Amino acid sequence: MKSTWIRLLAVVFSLALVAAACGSDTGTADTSGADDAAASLEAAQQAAEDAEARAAEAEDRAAEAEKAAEEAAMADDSEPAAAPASDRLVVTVSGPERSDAEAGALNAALEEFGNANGIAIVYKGSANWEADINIQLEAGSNPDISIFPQPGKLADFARDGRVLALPDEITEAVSANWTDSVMDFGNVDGTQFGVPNKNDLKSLVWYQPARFEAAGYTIPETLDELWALSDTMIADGNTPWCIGIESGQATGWAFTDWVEDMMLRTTTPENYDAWTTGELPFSSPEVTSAMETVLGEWNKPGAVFAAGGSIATTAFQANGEPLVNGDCMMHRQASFFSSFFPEGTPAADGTEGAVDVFYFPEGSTGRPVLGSGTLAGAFEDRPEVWAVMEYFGSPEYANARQVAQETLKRGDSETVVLSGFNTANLGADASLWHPLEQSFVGILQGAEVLRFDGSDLMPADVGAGTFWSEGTAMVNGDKSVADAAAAIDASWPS
Amino acid sequence: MTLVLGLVTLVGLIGFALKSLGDLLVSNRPKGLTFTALLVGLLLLIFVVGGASLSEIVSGRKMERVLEMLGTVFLSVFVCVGVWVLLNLFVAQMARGWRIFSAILGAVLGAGFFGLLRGNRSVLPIFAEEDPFELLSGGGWLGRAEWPVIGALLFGVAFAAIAAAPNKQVRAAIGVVAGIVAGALLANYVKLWHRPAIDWVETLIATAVVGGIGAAIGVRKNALVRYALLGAGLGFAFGAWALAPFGRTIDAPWIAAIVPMVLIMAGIGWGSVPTERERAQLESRAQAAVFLAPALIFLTIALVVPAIRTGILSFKDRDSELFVGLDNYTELFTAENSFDTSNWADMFTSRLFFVAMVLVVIGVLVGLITGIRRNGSASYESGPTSVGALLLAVFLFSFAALSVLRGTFFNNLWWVLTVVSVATALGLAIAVLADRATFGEKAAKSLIFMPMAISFVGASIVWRLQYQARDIRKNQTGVLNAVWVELGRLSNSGAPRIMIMIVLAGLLALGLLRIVRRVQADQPFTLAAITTFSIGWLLYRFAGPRLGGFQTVNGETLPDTVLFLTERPFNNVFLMIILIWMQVGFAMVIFSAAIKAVPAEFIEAAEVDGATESQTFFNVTLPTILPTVGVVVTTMIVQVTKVFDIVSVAGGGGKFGNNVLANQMFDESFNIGNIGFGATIAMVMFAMVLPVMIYNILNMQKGAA
Repeated sequence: MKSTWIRLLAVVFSLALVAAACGSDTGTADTSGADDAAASLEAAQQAAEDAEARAAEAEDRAAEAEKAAEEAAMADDSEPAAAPASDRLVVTVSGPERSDAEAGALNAALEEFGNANGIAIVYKGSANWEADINIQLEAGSNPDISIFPQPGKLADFARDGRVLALPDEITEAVSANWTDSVMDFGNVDGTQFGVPNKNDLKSLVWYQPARFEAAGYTIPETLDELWALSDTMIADGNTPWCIGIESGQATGWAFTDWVEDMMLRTTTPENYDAWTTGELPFSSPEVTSAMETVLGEWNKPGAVFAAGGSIATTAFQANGEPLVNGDCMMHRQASFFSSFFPEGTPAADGTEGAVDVFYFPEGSTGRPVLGSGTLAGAFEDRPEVWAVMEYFGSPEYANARQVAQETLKRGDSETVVLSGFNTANLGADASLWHPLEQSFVGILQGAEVLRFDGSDLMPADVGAGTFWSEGTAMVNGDKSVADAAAAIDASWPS
Repeated sequence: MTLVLGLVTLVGLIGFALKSLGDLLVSNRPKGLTFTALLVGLLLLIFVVGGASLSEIVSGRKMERVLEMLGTVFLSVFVCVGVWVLLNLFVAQMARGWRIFSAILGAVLGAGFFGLLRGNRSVLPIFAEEDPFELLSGGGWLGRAEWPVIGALLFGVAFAAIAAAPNKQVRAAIGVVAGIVAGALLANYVKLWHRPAIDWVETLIATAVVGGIGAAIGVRKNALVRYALLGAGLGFAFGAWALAPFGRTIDAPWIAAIVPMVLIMAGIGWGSVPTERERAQLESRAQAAVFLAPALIFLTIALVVPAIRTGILSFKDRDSELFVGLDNYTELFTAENSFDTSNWADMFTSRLFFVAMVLVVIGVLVGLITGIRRNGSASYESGPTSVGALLLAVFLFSFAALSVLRGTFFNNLWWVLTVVSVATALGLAIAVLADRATFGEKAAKSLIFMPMAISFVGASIVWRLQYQARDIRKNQTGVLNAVWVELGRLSNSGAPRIMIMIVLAGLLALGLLRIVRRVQADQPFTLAAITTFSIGWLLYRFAGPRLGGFQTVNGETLPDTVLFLTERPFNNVFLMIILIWMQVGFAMVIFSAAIKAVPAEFIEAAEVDGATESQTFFNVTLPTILPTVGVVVTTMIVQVTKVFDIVSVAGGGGKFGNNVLANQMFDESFNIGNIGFGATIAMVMFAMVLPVMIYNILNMQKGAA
């Protein structure tokens, strides 16, 4: 009995060995129909890797041949000059956007331009963009253009001399399409390096126009009007705000957004910048008064509906439903919040129960907008690269991408849907957007001061650490503003 | 290839399943049934893991993917088993086939060494122009086989020759020649920017130091020259290659390559060939090593290496680049949110403190009374009531202290203290009671044990829903708040409030009566006292300030909710309850087994002596199961020190004054990106559980001996 088992095993093993010897690695590449795309991609990557390996070998051989002239060999770094075989110009672009809709729309917009100008433009999104771009630059395999999600990285690269400054004529052409405030994101020490191409915004108040109309409220134009409106609502027996800052490990970020918006409205943009870089401490009167203003409004009796019992325990996502139910009248949150309303809630279409946004009113400091923006930066100095850079900053790009992204998002829907792509490009044709997003684009275009989310700009110890935790303690009433501000300042890395 | 392998494996597995099924039908052996079930289960599992749903298995879609996965699994298992078997066979050559053993050893070492260099692209290809292995270089890694093959040949021949040579002079000479060849080969082909600029002073110091260490070992092993040579060779290699600026220097690498190779090879040659007996001894030791190897390798990769790396990272800065010494540790121990003692004086004004004081008085009084009754003099005599009251007092004192001390360390301490003591005590109590139960023991135990089967995250979510509060104008959805708010509403109403007060007053009277009876009968009355006190408190709240707070919204007075998860400091305790709920079952099962193992004679003897049940428990059962209590307590201390999931999921990520070390570690490492600080917290946690672990291991060894 036992020997049969062993024999059977032996047969299986030997068969396996024979199979191993006969089969080839490429056999796995042409398997299923469904996985074809992935397989061919893999094959392409394999090919690319092989090519790289061969290039490295070639390099080795070159080094070997030039052993006599070692100095020269040393000066010659890597850079396997892989000029494309065809004479068509090629521009490669990388960036962090990689969802089907976003990357697809980006590619479509680039293709439109490329086809018209005889350039093959390839966009490749990477989930790990930040790490990848470092490695690629280190290895010399960088793309021609990369899209930076925030200005800090671009500034680092610009100061290292890795990103190239825009030629004057490109700066001129691009800056015609954007307000100075947006252009400034890509400006490092007085030189323009980045081309803005996409924006998001946070300075929004969500509300239901029908309820405002029924109660006779008007949209406030200034901060004072907003506070007055809130008082009127309380007096009328309505609750002005829905607020919740719980978000798991990130609990507190919704509070920091409020504080940032308040900073932009109660003090100068210069102070805001100084605050995000650590020059203006949290315990300075500018910052504490901004925080006190926020907490003062929140702690006003009857001012806040907290679905989870208290502001600190209410999940930030849980504010959509009470706003629609009428438990509160307003909710300040970024543009992405449209996806947190109950299923089927209409947006900005004038129907009863539809939600809409208005601009979080300006204070004494111009018309500030808290938001973000991506910037294109170039690593290679070729005419076709600069042509693509200029295109990124043009209204044509904004419109082409909006059309493509909206089409991709729309699916079977008959009406215009939210595309998720917003821009502050002054030449963008707002009529291409969903009515709700038209408001976004309008607010972005009208921004006199555009600033990034401050907590993203601060060191992570503060921006993703104490600003959240001490902020939560302040909201919860566990700490006074002064104590919390001192604790945040103490945690700022020296 | 993997596809074919997968097919073969699948056919084999199905064959086995059919065969054992056949066995089952023919001989009706139950063993066959289990085997068949296992195989079928394994097959299904493979398909499911391979990403195929049931319908896809039946219809054969995704077959290729599953087969491919099967093939990969089979291949890796086969390779591992093959390597292990070969290693056994290889070691078995030691005693009899010393030369073959030496040759193979040399070949493997040489192939590994040269392959490593080639794999790291430190050396150029030898046959750049004409590749004699062109047949192999069609694709993949085989194209880089030249270096390993040359290494295997060179060192295999050298080792075989050394093993065959008649005396140590010849052996050393062979070693020197082999060393020169290998060194020259490396020197000639090492890449330009991998060539060191030798610093002679450093190199010689390294040579002398490591050579000296080698010599010291050699003296002990009675082979001075050999070990001195080996040490000097390694030291020279280290000094020349590792200490020198490693980069695009143009220094000739000849000395750096040849000298250490010659020294090491001469060292290997110099020395005696082991005798038959020595080899047999070596073989048995090596065999043990081979058997241990899989487990050891696994432990090393998964445990030892990460632990050491974490230790090193804890001395580096946030990006793991520069060494910062003890900075991270000083920062951790001086940070405000690690130890926050600013409110310590509040301890003496807290209600817990007063209750504890009262309990101390009760405990002492009861002890004294018992003493007077028993001995007729004013002496303290311990009994269950007085000891219970005093223990509870200690627990409450610590509670009072830890509720005013803030910071992650104190929170962690509080967790350990509360969860371990409460879970152990409850587990023990339940085990004792269940042991005496006449029916339903199994069902009760199963129910209590069941939370152990729930994941921490799952339990946290379940409890978060229980604790949940909603705006007071809305209906409460969390069970606890629904009850609380309803009680509050009743306590603030007209007729229902009066009715409840009457019921409570009745209960209070009953409770007081019971206490009096138990005191008269000289029986412990702790439980009755606690119950009565609770009823009294409830009555007081109903009669006086009502239950809970109230808020007036739009002219309507509404009972307030309890924010279990945010109201400091007791939000910590509400999180601990989750863990206690999960751990009681564990303690109960272990204690239950231990109690059942207490010899019945002991109990009977105690009963014959006229001991009461509580006396039997405290004087017989408890001392017998004390070692088990130790195991449970230490295991739980380790468990609770690491608590993370509950705080992260139910505790708002530790933002409500309820942070613990593990959560802070996660936050620092992965949200804030301060890897050095996160590693430091990990090391401190490790240091905290280390004494407990050592105690546990020593205990286990004692048990085994």
